[in-house]
Amino acid sequence: MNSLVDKRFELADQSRFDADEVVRPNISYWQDAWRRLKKNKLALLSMAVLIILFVMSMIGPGLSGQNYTTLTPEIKNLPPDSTYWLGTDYLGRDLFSRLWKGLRFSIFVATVAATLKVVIGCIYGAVMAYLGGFVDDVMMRIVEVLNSIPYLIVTLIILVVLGNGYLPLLFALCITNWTSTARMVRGQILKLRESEYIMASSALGASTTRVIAKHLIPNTLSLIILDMATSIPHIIFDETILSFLGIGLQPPAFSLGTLLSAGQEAMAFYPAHLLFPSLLLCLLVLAFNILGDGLRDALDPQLRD
Amino acid sequence: MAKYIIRRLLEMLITLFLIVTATFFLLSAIPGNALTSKIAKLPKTVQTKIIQKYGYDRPVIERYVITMKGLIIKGDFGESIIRPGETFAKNLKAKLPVTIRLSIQQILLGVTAGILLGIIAAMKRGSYWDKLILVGAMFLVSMPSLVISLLLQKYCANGDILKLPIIGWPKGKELWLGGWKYTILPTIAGSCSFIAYYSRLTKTSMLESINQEYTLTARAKGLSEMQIVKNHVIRNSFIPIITVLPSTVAGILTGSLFIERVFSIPGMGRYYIEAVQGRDIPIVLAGTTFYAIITVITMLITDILYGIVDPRIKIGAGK
Amino acid sequence: MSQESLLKVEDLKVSFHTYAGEVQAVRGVSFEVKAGELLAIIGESGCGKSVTSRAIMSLVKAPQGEIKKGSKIIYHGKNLLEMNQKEQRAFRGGECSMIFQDALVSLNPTMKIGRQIIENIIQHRQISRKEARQEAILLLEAVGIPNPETRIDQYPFEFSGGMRQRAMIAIAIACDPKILIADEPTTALDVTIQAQIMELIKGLKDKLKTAVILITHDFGIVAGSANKVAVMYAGQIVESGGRDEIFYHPQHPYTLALLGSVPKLEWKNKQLLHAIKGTPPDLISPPKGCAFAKRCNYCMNVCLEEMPEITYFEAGHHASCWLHHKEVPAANKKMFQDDRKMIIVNENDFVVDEDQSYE
Repeated sequence: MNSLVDKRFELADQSRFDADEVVRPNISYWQDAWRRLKKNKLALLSMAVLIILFVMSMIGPGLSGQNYTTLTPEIKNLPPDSTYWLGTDYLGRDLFSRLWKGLRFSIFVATVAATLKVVIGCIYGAVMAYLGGFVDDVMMRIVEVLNSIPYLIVTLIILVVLGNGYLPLLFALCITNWTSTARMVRGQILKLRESEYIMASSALGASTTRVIAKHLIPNTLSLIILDMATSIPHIIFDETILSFLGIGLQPPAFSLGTLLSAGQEAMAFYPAHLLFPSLLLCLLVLAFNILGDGLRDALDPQLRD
Repeated sequence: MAKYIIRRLLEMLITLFLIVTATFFLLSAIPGNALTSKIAKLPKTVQTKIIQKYGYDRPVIERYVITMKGLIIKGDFGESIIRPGETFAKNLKAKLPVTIRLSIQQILLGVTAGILLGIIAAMKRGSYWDKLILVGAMFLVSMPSLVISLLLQKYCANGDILKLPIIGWPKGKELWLGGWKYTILPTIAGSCSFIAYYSRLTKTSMLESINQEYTLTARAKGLSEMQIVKNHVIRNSFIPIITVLPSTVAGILTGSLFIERVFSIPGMGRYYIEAVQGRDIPIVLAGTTFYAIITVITMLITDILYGIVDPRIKIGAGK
Repeated sequence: MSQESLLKVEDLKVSFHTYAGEVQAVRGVSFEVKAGELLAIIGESGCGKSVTSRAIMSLVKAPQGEIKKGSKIIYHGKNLLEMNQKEQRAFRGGECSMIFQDALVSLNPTMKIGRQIIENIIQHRQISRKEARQEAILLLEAVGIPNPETRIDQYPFEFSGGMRQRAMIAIAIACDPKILIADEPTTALDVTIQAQIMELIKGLKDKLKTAVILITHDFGIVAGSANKVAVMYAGQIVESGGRDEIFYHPQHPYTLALLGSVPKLEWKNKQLLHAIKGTPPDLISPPKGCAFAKRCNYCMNVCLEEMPEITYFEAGHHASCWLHHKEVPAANKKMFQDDRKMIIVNENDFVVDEDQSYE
């Protein structure tokens, strides 16, 4: 008994334990972001929906094996049946195939335009922040002038000048979109350059490349990813509006907006012509929006709890 | 303050001048305009005569000088090519009230409903209401106004659910008030996205404000949740809301481009789109300038509002 | 001095629910304050002292924050935690008010200082807005703000740091509270301003017989103002007692280590400035024994296994440490006492003369 007591009150072996031991696992920013995204079931679901939509837009047009390009007036406005799964349109083209083809174009335009917007915006913003002074002032003024017109109107004018078609449409969609990215990148770089942790890092002897690679890019990248994710739905909207107004695309090319326009004309008697493109469009945008929200929650370091 | 506004007005003039110039030269680069398609079937001699009449035989620079002169002296960009004798200014009188009424109705419905829903969601955060608003806003934000317009037209007009007219707009005496049944659907169609946007923005902004230390101080004073929101949270959370007002106005204008088309409303948007589609260059030029003026003025008003809401920002005190 | 205690905290337990698990921020804290008394709660950042103060003000927010069942905060014989919303609100700001650490973020940036004071007065007293305004001017004057008539219509950003903290104090004392909680009131301020603010708080305490709970990590401030000191570590009070007891006869190795980490003029030998090794434990999975064990120079086997009991010394001085167990070998105790003798060289080390005015 006595020996037991003695043992209890013996000094413990200090070398046995490490007082600096950190119990919680150390996770990096991107690991943490991915972990948060994975926990967001809705975001994962929307990611799955997007993948399915993408795959369908690739294989969908060929799936029913029906013709969707040439005009066959004899079979126009057919109701859905086993041959034409969603029926045919007013010129006798298979609606099912046209739907996926239209979706393919909408996705294509949105992703390409969003990528271009982000690339142009980043370069422009970085140049502004890097050069500063007079060049910065002039470049900023250009951005302000562009922002002084609702940008769909700039897009319209560009399309009037360049004429309809794939490339003019892409160009017109990007021409003003990038200004928000450029401002954001410029602001972020200026803010980071002034921030104390970057000053501390350079004071500790980090090279410029290291500062850019370790601090500037990671801290800007999440904003850029978010910017891209949120701009895709907007670009889809705008492309739809332009195609609906008959301004963007040169027939026979078509997108969901073109289908909506045709659907409006036929909606009194053939509501399916309006309904299916509408549903597909909403599903696409909804999925992008939910994913964007999920990314925002996952990437915002302020929300780390 | 007065000095600041004068400086801003001067800057605005420069911006507008740049926009007019850029638009003018861009539009001059179009290979064919309304005129070329209009006179295509006429004999060669008549063609040259008409081209001379509109001044399109002269070099671009000269035309630019003439246009700017006309703008400064008469305040107009010249006659329409498609409808000879009509100018933009003339049409403005008839069409602007229509667009203004539509815009005001959309802003009133969209912004107030959005902010109210946002406040409810923020105050009852985590509740059934909050979730309902969250999901509803997500759906509304994801439904293009175009789709909403078309679906409303299909399912809420002409007797399916409601007996509302599909197209048209009140005229004459009812231009400003009355004829509501015509305005309901376009107003809803245009404001849905704003309801969604503002409710989300208000909620985030309010939550941010609620999580600030000064809210804790207010709570430590023994104020009720209602008083805290009313006296402390709302004003601070309105600062970000005010910054997005210009983009709302721009959004309404953009929206009018297709909503007026879908509902056949004789407003500015439809007029502008028709001019764009017909390549009626003087009208497109005038319309673009018009939209730019509205946007720039909205931006100025926003900056002034900013200074009123946030005392830390002294308007005119330099950068 | 044997009057009844004004506020009594018993076995207070507060947890926060985070993604990583439940953080037990406060793990059974008990203390009491009397009218006109200044209790200092001292500890490292993250030890739960601020959470304790917020729990008293019922500012711990659900759903992340949770005050555990069995905790009691008794004011005038009533448990605050069982009061309804309305009673709690009357307590907050009226009976008990709080000075926050950073006045810059704790004052509403878009509201005039005057309105922020008047708001508190009107909330708890039946007087008109006009009278409240007069009152606010007097309050600003009382906390030493010059030109209160013009200052009252200014915004917080027009005030300097020290002035802001004074305005914060004016808000806190607007309704003559019985209890004043000061959560690191001087941390964000310059040293000279710190002294002025502490003088102000001390003056209020003496004049109005307010009970003050001072939350701090600065022994210098405690020495100059406290009547009683409670030392907190990892969500628990490890030692508590009168100021002199804590400063001259600390009974807990953590208190001693804290005292040892404050530099003193008399020390000739450099290595005597002790930094405490290691970091505080993670409160998601607090150790089953003494929380300080792994950082303690006198750690025994038992410290790692079992929570120490409270040992009582003279006049309300108590500490939770195994060293004071009767079966502990004298050698271990002597080690602690020797170190204590070395660190506390001079009894006057910490006494900032109370009559001496700060320059």
